[in-house]
Amino acid sequence: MTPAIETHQLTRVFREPGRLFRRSTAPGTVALDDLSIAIERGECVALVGPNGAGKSTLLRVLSTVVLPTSGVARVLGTDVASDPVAVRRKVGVMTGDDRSFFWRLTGLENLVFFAEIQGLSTREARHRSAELLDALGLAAAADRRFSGYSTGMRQRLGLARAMLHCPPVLLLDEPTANLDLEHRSQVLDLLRPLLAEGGTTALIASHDAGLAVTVANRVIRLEHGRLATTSEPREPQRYLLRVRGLTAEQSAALAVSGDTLEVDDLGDGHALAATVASIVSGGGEIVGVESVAARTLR
Amino acid sequence: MRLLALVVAFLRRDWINETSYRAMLLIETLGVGSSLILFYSIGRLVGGQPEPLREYGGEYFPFALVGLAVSGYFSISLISASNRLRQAQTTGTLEAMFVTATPPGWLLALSTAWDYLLATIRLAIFVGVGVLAMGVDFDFNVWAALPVIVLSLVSFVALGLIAASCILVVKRGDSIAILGNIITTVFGGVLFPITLLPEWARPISYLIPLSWALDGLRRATLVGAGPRDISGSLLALAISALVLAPLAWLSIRWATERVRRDGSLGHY
Repeated sequence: MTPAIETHQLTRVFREPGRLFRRSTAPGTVALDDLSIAIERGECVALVGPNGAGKSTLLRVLSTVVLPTSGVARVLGTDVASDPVAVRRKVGVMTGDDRSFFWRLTGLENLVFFAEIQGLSTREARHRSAELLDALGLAAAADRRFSGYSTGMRQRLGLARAMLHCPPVLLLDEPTANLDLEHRSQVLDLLRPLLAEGGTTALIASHDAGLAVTVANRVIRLEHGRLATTSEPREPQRYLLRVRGLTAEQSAALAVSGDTLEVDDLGDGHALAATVASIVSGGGEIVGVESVAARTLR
Repeated sequence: MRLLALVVAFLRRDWINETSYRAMLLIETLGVGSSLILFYSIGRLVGGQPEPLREYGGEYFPFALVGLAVSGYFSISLISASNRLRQAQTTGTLEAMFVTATPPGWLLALSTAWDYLLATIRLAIFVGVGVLAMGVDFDFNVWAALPVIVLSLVSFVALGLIAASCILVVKRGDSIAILGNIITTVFGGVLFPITLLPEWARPISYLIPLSWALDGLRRATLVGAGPRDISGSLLALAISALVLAPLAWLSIRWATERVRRDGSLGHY
């Protein structure tokens, strides 16, 4: 069976725009570099990696907003470059941009509009929108203008929009960013059964260590646009490092509080290793390490 | 059926959005009333039946009334899609709409539905006030007027989509659309017949679909001319629709691919 999401030697380079009468000679930023991955139908994959690793670019390529520079990307067998409209019918996209709604429309009116341009009839659109607003704890704010929504409410409305047409593939960019504990649980409660049924495939870019363990069955780590590792989700760890010998600037850059530094690690050791390398290369010394389960801390 | 549902969805969205700016609605209504009084007064000043207006019934006010009504549609076609696109770019809604199942060309065209509805209401007010309060006497030939309206709309919408495609790529081109609007108002014969233009400037008028639309519609509505009488205007409008419609389709395709390649869809 064709994988739900498939990329083969996918590369995306962003060129610097030129100035007036002058073409840019800058080499451009390589956001995705020869990336080949396959995600099977029904899988939920957490896409992790540091800022600038290429997570959002991969989601933008798969949602047809950006074309690959070279290589191939397919969603349920359909090429994102040659048949974008067919791909858009199959994916639900959460962009993570809280400006992307109509501010003078209510939450419900916004969802109904997006559902209708996604192909639902007005009746279906109203029913589905109300259902999702309820599931995400936004029913009481359904008739409030979007401009009055808090950041967390906008975030949840973005997730609802991605799920309006019950797409077989979900592409979610930081679905739990800016959410407090209660609303984060609401999002996970909505995603968990949907993904457990196996009918929906999800690719979720996230820095949320707990999310990978709670809903994902695989973790893909990107670094510099390349595939770094692919692994089973492991219990995330929070490490408390006691350090000394760092300059004030280094301490500020690493967000050291007093002599202690908190490191959230997905359980694969990458974040811990990168932090230790920064401390050592900056002339610092680690004098103590303590580990606690990050999920428990949440 | 799906198209109708989409038109209703866009109209509903814009109705909620636009009526939330109540002061703007009032200002627009005042603007329509002022234009009517202005051109009625000019009509009285001009008086009589000036020679260049003979073929359109002779009186200035009905001549200007049809000019204003049709140029309203033309201006909206030229500017509306570009304005709506720019709005969507700056507010961040463009990408969100782009990733839905409605193709980009449809999104652009449908986003102008509200402005066309307003233009139609404005037209109805112009004609209603003109007939009931200012004594304009129309001699309407529906078989001539209808093809002029359809062909003109195809040409106008296509021009608007071409302008919007340019905005999609170059991001800022509103001033070009406004300049185009001014040029076509002058050379299109909105407020005076193009026979009054200097000899050297008339060929410019013949290249503008608005001038053919105005000529055809004025004859069909003011002096009851039939399709045969306005065959020149109909032919020019048919050629313009046949050229501009595929050009609009191609330009949207090109612009969409270009912004996907540059990764600049949401940039502004």
